[in-house]
Amino acid sequence: MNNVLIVDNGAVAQRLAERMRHHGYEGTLTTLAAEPADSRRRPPFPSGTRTVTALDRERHRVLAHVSGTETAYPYDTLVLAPEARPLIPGIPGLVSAKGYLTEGVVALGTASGRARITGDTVVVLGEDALAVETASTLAARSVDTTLVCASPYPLYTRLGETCSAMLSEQLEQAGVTVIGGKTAVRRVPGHLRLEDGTTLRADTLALCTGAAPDTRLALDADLDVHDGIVVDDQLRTSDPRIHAIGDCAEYDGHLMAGVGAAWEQAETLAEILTGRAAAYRPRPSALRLGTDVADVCTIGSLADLHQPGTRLISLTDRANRRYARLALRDERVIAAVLFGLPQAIATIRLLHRQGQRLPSDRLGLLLGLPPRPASHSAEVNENAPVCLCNNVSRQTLFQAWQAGSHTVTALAEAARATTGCGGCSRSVEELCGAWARETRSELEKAS
Amino acid sequence: MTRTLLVAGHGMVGHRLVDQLRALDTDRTWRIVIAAEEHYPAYDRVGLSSYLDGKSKSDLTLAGADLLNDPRVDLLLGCPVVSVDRAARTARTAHDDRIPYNALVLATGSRPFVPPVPGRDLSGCFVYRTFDDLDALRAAARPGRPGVVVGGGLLGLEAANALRLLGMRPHVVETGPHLMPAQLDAGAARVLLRHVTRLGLRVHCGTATASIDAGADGKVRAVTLSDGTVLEADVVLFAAGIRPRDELAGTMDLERGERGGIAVDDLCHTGDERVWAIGECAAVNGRCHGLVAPGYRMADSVARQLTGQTPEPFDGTDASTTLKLLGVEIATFGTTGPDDGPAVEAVFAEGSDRYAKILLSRHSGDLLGGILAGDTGSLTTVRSLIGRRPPADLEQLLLP
Amino acid sequence: MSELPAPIPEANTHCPYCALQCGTQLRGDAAVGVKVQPRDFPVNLGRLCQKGWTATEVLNTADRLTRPLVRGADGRLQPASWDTALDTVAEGLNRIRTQHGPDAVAVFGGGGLTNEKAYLLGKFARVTLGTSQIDYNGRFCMSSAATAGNAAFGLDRDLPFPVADLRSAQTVLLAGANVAETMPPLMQHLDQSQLIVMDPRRTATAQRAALHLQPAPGTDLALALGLLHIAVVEGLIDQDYVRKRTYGFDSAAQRAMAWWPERVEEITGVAARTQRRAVRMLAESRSAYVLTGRGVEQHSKGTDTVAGFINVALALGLPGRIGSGYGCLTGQGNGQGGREHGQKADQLPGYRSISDPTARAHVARVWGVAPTGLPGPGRSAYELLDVLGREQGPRGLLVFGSNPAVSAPHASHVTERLASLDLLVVADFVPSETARMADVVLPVTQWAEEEGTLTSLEGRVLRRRPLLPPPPEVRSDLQVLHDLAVRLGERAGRYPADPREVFEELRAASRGGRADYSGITYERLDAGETLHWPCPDTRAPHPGTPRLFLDRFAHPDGRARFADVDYRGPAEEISPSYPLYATTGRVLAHYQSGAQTRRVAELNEPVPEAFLEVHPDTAARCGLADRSLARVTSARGGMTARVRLDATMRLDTVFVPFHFPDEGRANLFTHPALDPRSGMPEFKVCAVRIAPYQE
Repeated sequence: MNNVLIVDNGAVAQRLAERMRHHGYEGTLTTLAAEPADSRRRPPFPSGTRTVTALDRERHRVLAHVSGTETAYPYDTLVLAPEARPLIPGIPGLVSAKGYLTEGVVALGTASGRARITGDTVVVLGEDALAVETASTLAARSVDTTLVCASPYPLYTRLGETCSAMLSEQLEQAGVTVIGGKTAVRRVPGHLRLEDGTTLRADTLALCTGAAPDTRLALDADLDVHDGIVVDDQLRTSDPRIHAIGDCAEYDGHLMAGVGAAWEQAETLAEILTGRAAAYRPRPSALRLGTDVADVCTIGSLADLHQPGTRLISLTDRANRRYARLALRDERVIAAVLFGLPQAIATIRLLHRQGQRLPSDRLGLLLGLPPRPASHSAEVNENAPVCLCNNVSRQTLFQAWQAGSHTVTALAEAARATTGCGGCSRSVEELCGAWARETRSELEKAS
Repeated sequence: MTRTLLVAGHGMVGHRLVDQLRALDTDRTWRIVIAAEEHYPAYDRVGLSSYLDGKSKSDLTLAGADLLNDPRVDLLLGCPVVSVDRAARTARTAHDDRIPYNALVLATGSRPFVPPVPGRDLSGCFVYRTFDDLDALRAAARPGRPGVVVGGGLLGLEAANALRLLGMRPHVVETGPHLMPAQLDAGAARVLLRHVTRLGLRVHCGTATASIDAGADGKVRAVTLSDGTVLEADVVLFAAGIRPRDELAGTMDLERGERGGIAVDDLCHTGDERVWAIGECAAVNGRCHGLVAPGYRMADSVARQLTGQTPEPFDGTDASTTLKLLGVEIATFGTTGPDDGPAVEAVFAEGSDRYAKILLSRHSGDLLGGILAGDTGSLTTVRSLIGRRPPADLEQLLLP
Repeated sequence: MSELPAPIPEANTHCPYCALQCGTQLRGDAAVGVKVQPRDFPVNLGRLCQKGWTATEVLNTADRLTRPLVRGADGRLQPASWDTALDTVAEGLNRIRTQHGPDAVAVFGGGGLTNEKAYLLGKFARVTLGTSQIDYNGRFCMSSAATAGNAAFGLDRDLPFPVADLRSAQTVLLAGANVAETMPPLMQHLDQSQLIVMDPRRTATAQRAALHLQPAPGTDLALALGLLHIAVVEGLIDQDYVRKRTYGFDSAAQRAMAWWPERVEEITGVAARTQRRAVRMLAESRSAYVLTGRGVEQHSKGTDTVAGFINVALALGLPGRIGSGYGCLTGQGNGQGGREHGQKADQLPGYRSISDPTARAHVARVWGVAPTGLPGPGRSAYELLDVLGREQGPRGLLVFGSNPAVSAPHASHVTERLASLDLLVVADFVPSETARMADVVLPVTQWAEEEGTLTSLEGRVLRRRPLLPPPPEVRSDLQVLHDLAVRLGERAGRYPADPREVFEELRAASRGGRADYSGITYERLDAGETLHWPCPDTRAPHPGTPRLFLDRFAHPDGRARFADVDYRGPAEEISPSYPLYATTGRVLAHYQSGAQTRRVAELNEPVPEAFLEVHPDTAARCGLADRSLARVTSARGGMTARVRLDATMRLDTVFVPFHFPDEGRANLFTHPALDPRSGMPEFKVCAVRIAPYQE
């Protein structure tokens, strides 16, 4: 196998090529741009874009248009990795008569399109993770940003009422105007009209209204397609020479969303195509919002939170905007919704990826509390060293104090405390003060 | 020279006062007259349903022979106080007796609240408070037939259990979003609901009783709820809360709380320094207390005042209660609604069988209080942690 | 005139232990006893840690080696005269060399040897033994940082600036360095700065940090790539510095684009928000330092990981600027000097490559041999130990200032290899575990009994001065090499035993090299001059170079190099049968293999045995109670340690110190995977299981 053809030049295709080279693939590696994901963009397309038109499975080749002429690209192995195609809602004014997106309208299938957004005021339409990330990135660039979503709050179905409300508050604080529970009814140049008649100024209207796997090539070539292109654990389609990864691939009935999952498929396929024994194991669906505006993470779905035989741990801190729902089965995470808990999110994601059990002090984990003694354990042991560098305990210091060393320097002389790194000078001073006060009050009592 | 204490009412709290006073009044300076409205001496109202489960009236009676034969005590049954002349310091009873007093303690308790629903006076409608109520209920009960309890609080569930004990199939109608809305949150109520449903109770929350419909014989035949459902019912039991019996305060020209009850300070003193009010009829600093534990604390305080000892001022905050209800352990501890802003809430639950909620101060992180429902850890251990940072094994203490 | 009491002898010298080389003064004599006092020296400012205060106790430890030992026919080591011992060694060496050739004899040095000893040992191996098979235990300490430093800056000196410069820093990132326990007096230079500490454990250093990043063991490189990603994406790059003073930024930045914070978080367990805060703290400080230690270096990708942190420092414009920089915290006393003058497999004096023809010509001229006579590069430390006694490996080994039976990874295998040698000769002053396996043991002097120079982590050359004469039958390492060389036919003058003479030779040999000592003399040092190398022999006495790279880096084009490094996981991942990461390291009371510090009561009593630091939940789930004995087992073997519960530990990680012998050796479970560029073994992460100890 020494001629690998990859259809689409999205981030996943590049990653696959990079990892195959890393794993020692020496053969030819060609990447062909499928029809640009956002096909309704008005021409002219950037010059030299090769748009793939057909897949000829019998003669193991792909046909593509290169600035007018049709060329055939043979393959030993073909990898289909087109980015998801954004879904365009049926709102009047979005699409021109010729079928192209009208002025100022951008459809985002994946994060990669975000850089193309310009304009002073931007309205983001949608409520999924991409919409929230896009809105917060624009706000961070101090663009006048409004997020319009049909549900009461963004990510409503993924986070639930209370948590999505907290996210909305946080977005508002970061400068995003959030309009929940409203649907858009018409796009007029530079504006967007909502169902309640209000009109929002929108130099750019960014559509984050979901995306669908791009299976056109596979369908035309009679590959097995369901929602996405069906693949097995070798990421192989129904044609043994053709693989599929990324947004378009469907494994075990699931479309794997997110860049993280796509990169894992690229890694696994790179190993498979370079002769290593590897099988694709999807990780349970997880979301980690990529924005500094709010720490948001979910594992599994809201429904998974209430599976029988699990323990549900929940935390609600409205004042500090912290929220958690954790479903555990024998101390392992089955599902989770975590908001505003940065270190808990980090620890729980890692333990979940490793399939490890959570610590027994889940409250301390969620609230980020320092380790605390158990309810029955004795107080902190009295004889812990005060000066680490010279292993000088409080007891030794007190004996030296009783023997007449009443100042820090005297104690340093007698017991070597504070002569290492100096970090304990303040606590030795405090001890001197306390012991001095104690003896003074005893003297007063005695006299 | 003995002084006369007149106790108006011989419910559980009135009885507690008399019991405590007899114990504390070692040099026997007090003669006690009890004017009881009912024909039975004080009995255990908390465990009232057991009267329908094989227990007799005497099993439930609190007043023992030692009280009845105590020469210092005159127990007047069926003889409630009807008016009081505070200037003359004498009270008049329903039998027109005049009883002078040196000290008067009003322990008139409360009466069941009957919502103003059309048909509420039909035969087959009952309230659930006294032996007489239960006798009437037992007579009207039809095993196997449905009965409706109006009210999903603590009393409502007791009443529903009574119907169950009488072999009927009880419905419970509660206007709040879930059972026991005053004490529990949705999670704890879910544990309670799961348990009572298993016992055969059919619960309808978030809906009210629109009307009680009579059959051809003029007796109760069905109940129509505000959402339109019609529940077939031979019996209707009102347990939708209580109203403090503060009528005497009106005639005695004593102040009443905004939401009813005889207004008293935290020593249960009314405006008249010879008159106290304790139990459900009293509004301590404006708030009435329907449970027996706070009532007992008021009775103990007045008994100590009457025997010249320093009383414990009544503190309404620790509303911790433990209820063994229809076999389900429910407990609240500490404050469940702090005033220094919204607390941090943490819940540990397993299905709807085990539920433990705690509240932490959002400033210090100390434990403020919480709710335990179902098979949870020991309340005494958890309660001992109030006011401290949660220890590392708190979850194991809450849900072992 | 009454007889004045003889003045109590004194000597200004330096602590024998770590690379900070605290200034100390020795007072007293054998009769009245010897005391150590700290000196007001720039790195320790009148302070010492417990090891420094008690350093003299090793001088008269009960089982100090005071006479040569030769293993008799009965297999037991018996006292012998120096002549017998040296003859035995010489005959053994000659027999092996004639039968199997010069490379059949190997030499193993140490980072504790003075500059003179390291230099002469390197010369003895290449000139007299003619073997390429020489390396040293510094390979287990500094080799990753050295390789990455050379690649990035064209020259490797741990701190390219004096320690005191750290006092002006607003922010200091300590990556894998537990300074509060391994170099306590250095902490006083860090107290005024905001510390960012990166360590899988909540160490004493982490507790004093403004920000603690706690990555899973073996994932530090992902964190370094993530920090660079954030610096690029948030526009915190020092564009001007990068354009003018570096090379290769674009490919490193492109690589880092694949390491967005949330991806790094999932692999390391360090929150994205914490990563962003760390980068902003560094970028917003007018003066900041990035320092690395063993934690990020002792990995099979240690060099790449250090390169990752150098990339971050370069991107923020820190190296080569007053008040900011990148540095590495050396471990051993002469860790810096010990790796410059020829005891490394690929090296000639002056930090020259043994494969560079001009270097070979220069050193050959100094040594009076033909360049072709010098052997080429040999095996790195573990590769060398791994083939001892094998068909293609050395049959004889000379060990100076090192205890590989305890400090090398996969200890059971290394012990096996040592035992299979035809001839094992160990020069030491206490019967270490390796010495006890030797055929010939040669007793050598300790620090308070010998002259010489060491080079601290600042690259400053310091004078070691004696207070006491050594015990009668004890000779200096230089004397031993002299005597051996003579027995092997060398003329006496070729191996002077006087340190001053050796230093003169070293100056000449290092002249023109990257580590140029030629301008440094005992006289200038004794006059109290502060001399950091390079210090060439110029007409007017050269002032030394306390700060490097201020105007240019050491590469020919004067630019620093970014490294295009990508992440890979630890050599050995955790698995169902070995479900926990094990990491190893030091404790304050002990030093390296513990051979010295275990013999000091005040140091040994608080930490007398190997312990296992573990999270209480992990311990409970493995059936381990606090203070009970546990077996810690990996695919390579197991050891025994006392359980110490610590709720600050990560759930997936346990820690064992490596200072203890026999069944307490942490290296019985460590993984011998080597860093391909530096030869550093992966001490800091492997997969183990823990269980209660059964009799």
